[in-house]
Amino acid sequence: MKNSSIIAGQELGGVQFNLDTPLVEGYIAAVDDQSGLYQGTDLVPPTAVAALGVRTLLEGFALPPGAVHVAQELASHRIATRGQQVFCRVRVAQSSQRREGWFLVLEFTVANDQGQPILEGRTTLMVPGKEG
Amino acid sequence: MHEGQVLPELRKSVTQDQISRYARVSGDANPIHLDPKLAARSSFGRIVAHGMLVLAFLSEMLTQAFGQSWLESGRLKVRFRAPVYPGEELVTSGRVTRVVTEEGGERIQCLVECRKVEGREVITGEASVVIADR
Repeated sequence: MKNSSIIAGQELGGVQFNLDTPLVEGYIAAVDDQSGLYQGTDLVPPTAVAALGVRTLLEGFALPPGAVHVAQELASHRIATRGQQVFCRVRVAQSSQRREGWFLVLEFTVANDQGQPILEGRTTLMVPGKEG
Repeated sequence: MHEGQVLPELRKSVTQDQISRYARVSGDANPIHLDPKLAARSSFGRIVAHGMLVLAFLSEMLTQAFGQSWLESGRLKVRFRAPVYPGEELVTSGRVTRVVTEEGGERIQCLVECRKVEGREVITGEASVVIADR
């Protein structure tokens, strides 16, 4: 996808994930979380939920390999638990060419199956260089 | 919790194996994290860790400091300042800057950061969490 085709206000919605145990345990092992809070419980780390939001925006907008993660905001609203189905929506908040490259600000919401937000995020990416 | 209180530091090493595992579970298989040849042509010049992997280290520190409250009400606002390369060692740290009484509890505000062991900032930002009255 060309950067210039990503326009503020664009939305992607309803991407569904299942927070199944292999996914959550794989995540906890990959980030080497030693907090102990997730052992013997069905709790899911908020950054695991956030990773799904980031995955949705990366896949949804087919961002180029050189995209650089510049900033991130996260806000948790409720606990996510293993086995839950969650739904991710992404919205382009800003899309602009600057001297250093193309800046994208993408907002995502991960919600439960009742539509209640679990976590919201705001991701700033920079794609170096100028487009064609 | 009180203003000035220091959060317990975490020390983490980042390996290529860990980056590859994170790519699999997160679905972020950007070649700058996995392919040395393609990464060599990127602005970083070599493979870099996912920002969200490093951010998970900060979240682990906040989980250790605030427990389940972090999962219920945590907020994080950070900037990624420098790339992290495989083989590097990182230290996360934080400090309480403000404690605000709200209805139902106290909101704890913190400055947080992640640095390379030699001192270079990797992530800097702010976090907050509500500790509910029990």
